Amino acid sequence: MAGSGTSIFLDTSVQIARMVHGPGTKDRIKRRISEFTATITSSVVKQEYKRRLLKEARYLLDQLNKRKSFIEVYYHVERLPESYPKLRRKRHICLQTLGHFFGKADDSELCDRLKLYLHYLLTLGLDEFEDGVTQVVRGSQCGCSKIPVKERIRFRRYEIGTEKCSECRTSCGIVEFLVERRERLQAILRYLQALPEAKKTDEIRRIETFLSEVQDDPATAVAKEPCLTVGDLLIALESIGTSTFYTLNGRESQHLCRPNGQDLIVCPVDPLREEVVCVITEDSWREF
Amino acid sequence: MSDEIVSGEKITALERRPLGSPWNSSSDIDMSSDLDITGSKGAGIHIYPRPARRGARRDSNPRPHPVTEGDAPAMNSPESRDAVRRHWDAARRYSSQMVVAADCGDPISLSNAASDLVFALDDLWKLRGVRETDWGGVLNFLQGVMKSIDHAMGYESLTSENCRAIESVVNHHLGTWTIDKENVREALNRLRSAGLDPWAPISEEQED
Repeated sequence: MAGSGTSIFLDTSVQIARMVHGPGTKDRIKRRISEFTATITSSVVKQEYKRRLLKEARYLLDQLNKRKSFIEVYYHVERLPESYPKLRRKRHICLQTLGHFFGKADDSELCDRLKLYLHYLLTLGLDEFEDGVTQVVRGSQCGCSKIPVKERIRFRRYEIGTEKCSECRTSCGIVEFLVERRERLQAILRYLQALPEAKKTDEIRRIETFLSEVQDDPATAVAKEPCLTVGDLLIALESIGTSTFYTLNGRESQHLCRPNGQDLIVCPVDPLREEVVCVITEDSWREF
Repeated sequence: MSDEIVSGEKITALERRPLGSPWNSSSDIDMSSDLDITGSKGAGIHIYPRPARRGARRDSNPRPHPVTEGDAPAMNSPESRDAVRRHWDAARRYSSQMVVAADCGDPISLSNAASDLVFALDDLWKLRGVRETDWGGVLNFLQGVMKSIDHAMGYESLTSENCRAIESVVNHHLGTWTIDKENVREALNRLRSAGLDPWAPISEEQED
């Protein structure tokens, strides 16, 4: 699979994991990537990275400013999952490690250190995103991804920009992107329609509906906020031309890599479990 | 003629002498301390240190101040700048020793030099209020990297490449000149390209 002249596409989960997952996962991703000559990611991945990771950094910085205590923010965030179980799954930045690493530091020092980390995650996080890969493909001209994070007041106020395609119509190139790939969209739609209902996730159903609606009138795509609602589809389209797709979540990707003719590698969140490699020439893949 | 009272003037001096004695401003005045002078022509003058005004800082004993919005170095006295330079010199020396030890395959010397470097970085961190935010940012990342290595495999596991990256960041991005965001970015790249993880302190811990 990997070898001379091969490229691997890194989706949002991998790009976030490279920043803030544990050392075991980071090492495994590093080893896997080293097998390829080029690492590719895309503008919609960048937009999701902003929406998931940088938004969380902003939230934590707000909490630090409000509570003025690392410990209080830590317990506040720890208490959140009990009332909002969905948030637990989506939390990325780990405060516990900082407390362990700087065990002798007092609350005020930890507060200062965390502020610095969050400030640089916000102001240099997108540079880190770009510097860590060979190429960011920008075929979709995702408008949200083009909006830089603006530092208004250091350590206090940052603007991440909109998450909605409809709010950056002038800079968004999603419609042209979809028009150019009309045949591919039809091929993906046919593949998804042929899937048994039981195998479809909510996002796969949304993608199916989206494809059905926009294939006749692509101009309506922006109003459907595709980056927000069918991001996996856009990322799959941007990844075309890359031989291997790399993700931590194979549930949707397994159904999008097949019609795109790509190998799929799924890195489990639990580093003790083996990575799953699905080669396009195999008749059947393990289900996720 | 009645004695002339002089009091409350800000004057710097070291010794007591009768009024009327000639002053040689270049040799008699010590510019380093604030003193009050009071007395009369007959009795001579008394000189004693002026009590610190409310809110005044003692620059010789700088304390870190919390990360704030501005970059104004509140304790930017010659003494504190000199202290930063001395601790930075020490950090450069220890990081260079790390490179030598790693090249020679001497894990004991490597670990000792790394520990010394950590102490020097800690000393610099205490003086972070003297310097601009981005300097503190580079220092924070470097300290985080050292902590993550210590918590994972120990300093003995550092490679020559790791040590060169650490040395490079100490030499080029923690110096006495102004450090800006581009320095932070370069430091991050340098650390990451050597296989070190600057974001480890806000990442998940070891999964086992």
